[in-house]
Amino acid sequence: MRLYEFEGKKLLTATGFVVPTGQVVSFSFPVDILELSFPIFSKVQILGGNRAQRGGVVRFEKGEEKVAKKMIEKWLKNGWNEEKIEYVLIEQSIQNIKQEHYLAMRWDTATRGPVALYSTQGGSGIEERQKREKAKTEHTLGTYPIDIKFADQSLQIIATKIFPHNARGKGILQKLWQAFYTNDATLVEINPLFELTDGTFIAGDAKIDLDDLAAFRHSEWESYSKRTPFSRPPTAMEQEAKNINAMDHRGVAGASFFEFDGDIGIMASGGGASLLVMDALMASGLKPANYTEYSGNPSREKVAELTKLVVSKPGLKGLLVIGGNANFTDIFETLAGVMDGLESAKQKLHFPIVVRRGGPRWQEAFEMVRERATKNNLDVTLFGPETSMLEAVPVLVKKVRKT
Amino acid sequence: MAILINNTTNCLIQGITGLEGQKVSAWMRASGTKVVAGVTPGKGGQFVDGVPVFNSVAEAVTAFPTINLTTIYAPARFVRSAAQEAIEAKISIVHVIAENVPTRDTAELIALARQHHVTLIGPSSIGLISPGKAKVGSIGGETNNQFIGGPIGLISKSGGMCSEVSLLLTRNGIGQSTVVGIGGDRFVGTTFADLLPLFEQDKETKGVVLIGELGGTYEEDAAAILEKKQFTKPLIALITGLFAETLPQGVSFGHAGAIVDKYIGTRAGKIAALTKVGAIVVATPDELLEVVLASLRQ
Repeated sequence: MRLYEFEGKKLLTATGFVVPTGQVVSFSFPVDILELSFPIFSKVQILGGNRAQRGGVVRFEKGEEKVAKKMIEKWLKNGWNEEKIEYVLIEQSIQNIKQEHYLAMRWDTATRGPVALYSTQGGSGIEERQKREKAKTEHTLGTYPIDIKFADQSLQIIATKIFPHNARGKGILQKLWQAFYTNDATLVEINPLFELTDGTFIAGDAKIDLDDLAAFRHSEWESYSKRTPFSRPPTAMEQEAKNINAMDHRGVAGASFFEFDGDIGIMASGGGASLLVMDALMASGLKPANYTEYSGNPSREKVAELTKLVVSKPGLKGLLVIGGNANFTDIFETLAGVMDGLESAKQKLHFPIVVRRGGPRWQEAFEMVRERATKNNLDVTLFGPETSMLEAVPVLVKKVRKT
Repeated sequence: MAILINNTTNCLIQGITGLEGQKVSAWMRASGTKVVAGVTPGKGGQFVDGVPVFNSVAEAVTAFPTINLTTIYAPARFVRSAAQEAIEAKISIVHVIAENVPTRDTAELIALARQHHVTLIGPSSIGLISPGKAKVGSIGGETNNQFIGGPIGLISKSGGMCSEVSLLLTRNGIGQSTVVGIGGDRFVGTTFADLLPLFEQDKETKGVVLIGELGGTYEEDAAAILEKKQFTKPLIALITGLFAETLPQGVSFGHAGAIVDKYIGTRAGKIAALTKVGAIVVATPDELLEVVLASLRQ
């Protein structure tokens, strides 16, 4: 889960960082209570990047109070760049800046441990600059591995490399590590990190990603509003899928669910197989209405509810129920769940359904599916493990094009 | 021959008294694996189908010093303490099947495993099988009938793809030396790069199939092993995730490690890295079969 800048700054403050004086404005806390001294920056709170280049950070001088207020209200009322804006962060401008650094910590698969990332040239547009400069030199952004068992010693060494002339540097790294580690973050990025002429540091921005898998030990995360990686709140379907997955603790069904613009419903099985199938679907020219996946021998009830949800999307032209040859998922139980879901759908299902699956009890399962499909007048085509997984995709393409 | 497990493996199951633990114990024993003991805190002294249960890993290892592998069947939130117990008892191979283990916990386990020279497999690993010899974890389920012994090593992030691709090979008469599901998490204890040198040493293995996907750098690390000539047999790779890359970065698909990132871990980057060092990258399982058949004919 990605945090908004103002949420991230709260976590940074809790570990001892100084952030600019500011306040969050939203519908419930309107701009009338603005009590900051100008000049100020008003910053839209979004989860995506490139905010500054797209005009989401605006500076207002003394005397521009009315203009500022008007623009902030417009953002909250009409949105910004076609994005709904719930919060705007207003901050006083920072004086006496000596340097703008870029400093971050994240998990790195190359070392399979935490790393610090640092650049002497922070500020907006660092990604673009990095991309440009990458062509010239391999590394403009320094990567500094942290030994998780000896974090303090690692930070000491890193501090002498990246902040050789400022004794406060180590403290900054320690605070960042604390923010990263204790919050179960996967990324904490401060860009820019202002270094003032008196040697103190101020976190100018905060981008924090939290590891959703650690939610069980962070009850404080429950207060964050629901969100998706698409910089938008989850759709009703996406939220419902999460609820379905939480029905019981057996396997997963709907833990990952994304709604798209296409018209082919997807019920895939297994993380790896589902990616392969989505690639093939894209290549075929069909467009998915959703992505979702069930695996790990989930209960029949969960699969039924997830199926019902997938086919509830209006305008579907086909449904792909597809997976590899399962190791231990009971195919009879899970396909019975799929049939339960199809039969309990609110509308009559006229579109073609193509199933490809293998694994424990698949033959028995197929017999059951055939029987129930005939009885309920459903157009179901079945492929077992003797047919390769991707052959099912062109079959659906053909059937969809015919209808 | 095979890698990591064979008929001399003496296995411990942590969480053996649970529903899944009992089931996997029966499956593993039916596959020829020697399951010598189990651990469930508070259930010491019981037996599960004749397998003695202990309260702690230390107790089990004292009673059965030949234990050289443990598989952990515990929910994600308990994986860290269970695996730590096993690593500190210096069991040579520690296997974790649970998905959804927090990244920080895995990072700490990896560091601990390195310190104690223990091979950690997983988290989120379906298991591993040396067909006809032994298996660990839920790979192959009750019957294992998608696997037969033979010359191809297989490494996959996805457990489903272990089964799917092995079945494809088996149906076409190509057996497997060892199949390893390494897991699809952001961090896993054993990666492609760790296993390729083992397959290089294994005389039975004539070539390796690698099933990867977008996210992370494990496929790129595998390419580095080829470049360093630590693996010289044919490597055939299938990398998925084209679809996911059309979406905003930060989106994770099915596997926690399959994350879209602008610069790191793109499918195209992985394919380029592997192709450059002589691996054959295929687009579909059918193409994979053709290439494996051709490489075995040479």
